Amino acid sequence: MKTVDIICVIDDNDVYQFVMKNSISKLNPNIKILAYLNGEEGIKSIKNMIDKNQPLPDVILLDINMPIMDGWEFMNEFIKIKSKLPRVIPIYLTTSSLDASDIDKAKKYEDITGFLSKPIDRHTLLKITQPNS
Amino acid sequence: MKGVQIDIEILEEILKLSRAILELDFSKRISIDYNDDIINEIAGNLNLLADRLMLNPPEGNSTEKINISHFISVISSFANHDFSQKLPVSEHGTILDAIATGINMLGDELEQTTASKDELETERNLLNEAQAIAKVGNWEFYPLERQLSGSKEFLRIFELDHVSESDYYETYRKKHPADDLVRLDELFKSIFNDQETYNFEHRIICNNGSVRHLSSIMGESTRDANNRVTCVKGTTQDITDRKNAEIELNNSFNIVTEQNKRLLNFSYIVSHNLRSHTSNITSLLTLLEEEETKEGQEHLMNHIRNVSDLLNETMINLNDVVSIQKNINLIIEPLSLRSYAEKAIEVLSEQVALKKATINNNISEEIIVNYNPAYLESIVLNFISNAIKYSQPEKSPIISVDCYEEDGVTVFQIKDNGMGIDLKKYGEKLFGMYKTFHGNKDARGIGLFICKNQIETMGGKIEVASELGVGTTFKIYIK
Repeated sequence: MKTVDIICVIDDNDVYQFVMKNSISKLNPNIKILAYLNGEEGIKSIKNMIDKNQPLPDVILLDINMPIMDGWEFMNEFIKIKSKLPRVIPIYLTTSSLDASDIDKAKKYEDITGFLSKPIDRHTLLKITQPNS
Repeated sequence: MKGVQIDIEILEEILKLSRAILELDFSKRISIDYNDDIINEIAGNLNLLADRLMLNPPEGNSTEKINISHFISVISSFANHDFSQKLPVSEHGTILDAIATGINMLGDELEQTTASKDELETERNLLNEAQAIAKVGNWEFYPLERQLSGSKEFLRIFELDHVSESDYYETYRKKHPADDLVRLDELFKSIFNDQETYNFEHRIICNNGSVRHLSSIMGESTRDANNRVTCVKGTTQDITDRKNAEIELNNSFNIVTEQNKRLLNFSYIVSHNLRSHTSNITSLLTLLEEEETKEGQEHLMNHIRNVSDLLNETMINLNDVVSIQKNINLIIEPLSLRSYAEKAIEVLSEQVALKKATINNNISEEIIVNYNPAYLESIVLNFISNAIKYSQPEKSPIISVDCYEEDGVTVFQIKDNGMGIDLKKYGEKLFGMYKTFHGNKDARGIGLFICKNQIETMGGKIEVASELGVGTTFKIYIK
């Protein structure tokens, strides 16, 4: 598996964004973090990267509840562009409270790798950033 | 009624003939074409007696004379509904004996008729009573004549007691609200085409303005040679009590459903928002512990302070939600809607100036609504503020605030030419908690949620119409 160089964080909470940036750079200052405040910003940017042949994120951390385009809507858009991706990008749903209905819903998306409960601890982050270890 | 009248007429005829015989005038006869065999027999016997006496006039036969006067007194007592007297019948088998037997039979017959009439009267009373208890009336409709008749209870249900019979049908129709009348007329039309029976529910407006809910069954119809319906029979039941209980039950169901929704929202805030803040604090504290530079620590402290403020705000929102639930006995006062709108516009004057917004307050000064003052203030302020906030970037906001009646309900309307909202996409979430749609930095996702709850707590509802890039109209129904 490819090493993780770019992590995409899609979440409308800017404190969480700050925390993620700090925590990840502490683990590995070479990882680049792409932060988007909602699904629409995220999907637009990924489409743009594909078009311009720029390096794509190796992991996507996706919040569920966001304005404009929430996590589910992002997934629906993501599926449409999946075939253009050179390799599979793991997507983790990040949430502060796990709802039974969210788990059911997530089962319908085979592209969702798993759930991560906020706050994301160092151990979990390590696993995500170093998939080979 | 009819039978008794004819009986008295016959009695008078019989009396007249009897008196004539008593006065030795044997020339009179009475007709024997009555519907009743016995009466015909008596009449025939009397005629025979007259014939006989005419041929053989009595020669002072005292017994026969006494018999005749006795028989007149008995017949007279029949007229007073006294059937207890009987004429003596001798074994001689004279014509007078035959007449006496006939008169005695007439007495028995009349006694029976009267008894069955009483029985009928008792039965009718019982039926009326049963109908009154069950609140069911029966009716007959004659479509060709546009005439209606019905039982006592039917007349009570439709308040026709003091209406002349020829006006029953028109009065009956006029008591229905317009939409029910359309249905009713269609139903009457359709029943003329087939033989089926129909059940239908309808409403009438009583003289005192209250609504009466009715359930009617249209039964069989009779037709003439040309297959035109001449008569339709049916029943109507007053189901107002049942209907009101149903409405009450429905209302309490809705209240429980609403409370359940609020509870879900409440648990959503607790589980999601509070947890998201606390998880941020946990993460920030971990970072703070590891941070070595004074600068970095300061920076993290600012973030913690920031989250703490957000946490506080969430607690305030939580409090708002809980307080809607608690306010069961709200103070309700007559308030001038126009002045509340004016107040809100004044509070928002800074934003109005900043966005160069035009706000037309078209609410008439006379309009008074019975509302909780705090709720009205919050609702008016929130919707006008939203209308200014979500304007189109290149367009100065034009906002109209109106109030009018719709089907007897007061509607408070706020219309803007703002960015609009995709209701297909967000319609269901629009009034949900912590839902924001435009990515505005200051959108908290709590205003519409609180407003909707306040409106519903006051027994009203809210409707929205919107088109992207054109504008949004909110309608608030005030009960």
